[in-house]
Amino acid sequence: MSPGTEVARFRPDDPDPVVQASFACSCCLRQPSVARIVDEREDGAVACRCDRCDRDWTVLLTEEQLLRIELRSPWRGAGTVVHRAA
Amino acid sequence: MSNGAIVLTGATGVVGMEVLARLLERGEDDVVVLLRAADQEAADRRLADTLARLWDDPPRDARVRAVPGDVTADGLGLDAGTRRELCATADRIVHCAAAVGFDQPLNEALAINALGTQRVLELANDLERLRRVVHVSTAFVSGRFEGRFGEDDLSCGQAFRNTYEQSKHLAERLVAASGLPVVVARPSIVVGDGTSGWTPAFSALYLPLRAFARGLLDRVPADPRGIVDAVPLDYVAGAIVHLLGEPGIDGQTFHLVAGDRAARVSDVLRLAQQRFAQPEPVYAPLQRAAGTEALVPYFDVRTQFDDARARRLLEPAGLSAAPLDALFERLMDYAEATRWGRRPTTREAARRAAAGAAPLEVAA
Repeated sequence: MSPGTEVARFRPDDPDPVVQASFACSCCLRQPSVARIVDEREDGAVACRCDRCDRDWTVLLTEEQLLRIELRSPWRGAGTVVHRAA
Repeated sequence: MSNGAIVLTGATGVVGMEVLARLLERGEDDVVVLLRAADQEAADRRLADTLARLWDDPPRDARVRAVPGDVTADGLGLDAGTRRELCATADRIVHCAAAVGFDQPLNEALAINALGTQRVLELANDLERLRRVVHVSTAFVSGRFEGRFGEDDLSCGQAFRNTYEQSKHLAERLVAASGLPVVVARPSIVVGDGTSGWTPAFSALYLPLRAFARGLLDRVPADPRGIVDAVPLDYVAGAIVHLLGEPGIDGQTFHLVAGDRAARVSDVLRLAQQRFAQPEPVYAPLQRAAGTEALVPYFDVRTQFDDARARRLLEPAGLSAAPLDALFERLMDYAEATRWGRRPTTREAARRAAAGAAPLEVAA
């Protein structure tokens, strides 16, 4: 696993705050400014950016975790801009 | 009079990509693809990537070229020379570019969907020989309207589910106020090709089906009577290309929808239950007032789309939308064969397989 890569730790039926914890910036503990959902490898990933801390990191997801955030975004109202890889 | 070029936006998206394929297969026009890119080299690369998703061996002499641009930038981000050239040589525009995410911040959705459309209209206004703009909107400008929503309906006091609907609604109002020869195409939920199942993206309806296939949906927050109006990609793109050339329809709107043949949520989940051998789903009650939303925004639709005008025009041209139940197995065959897009195939390979000429070759 390359530096700046983390593994999501939540279950698909976990509530939003638990899901959000997997994506929090490790410096300021806030949600990422930008989350880019990537579903093109064996499992999924979210490329995160924190503008406040000028940090980029990637969170790896299982297919179940990916579907959880696609179907029920944990970032509604969190100020995170969500993109999807084309 | 010879044809001018067609300017196409949104060619990397699901609908735009199929429109591009059809325009190039038709071979009648030069196609200028506006792509978000920092420079010409990056735009060329994006176009090459797009063509490589369509054909195993993309045509080299195709009458297509990329120009770098950006619908969120003033003047579409075109340099002065390119804009001048387009104004002199292009005569039609197909505007497919859109931010389709349901959870985009409003300012971002407006920047792309509404202001982006305004900038495309400004370009159209500057074309010396403008013949037609086809603006690709969505049937869901209806928002949460309950009842029959006609092709001439736009503002009827509806509330919106998300910023996507809201910004596309505003874009249509800009189109209506432009006074330009614009035709509005309003597809509903677009699924894969009706014959091959091919699609370049597995979003929208595919997400809950994929979750269902994985056994993740034991309780489904949805209205079983909700209307799932879905149409195959080939119908939508074929109709858009037809609308581009049909005389005498400026200012009109066409619903590219299933309309009266739309399925219900319960129909779709029954099909999925049988396909994926899953237990019968249990519906969780929806309580909008308490903030409990449907699993996906479009599993609680009470809007019936009227498409009389579209059918009157398109059916004689051989364009009609197969109902979802007739497509379902084909769509799911392709989805599973490509592992929901993780092992994609080209459009050409999918069509070859559908014709029985070869097995479906998926990427390693």
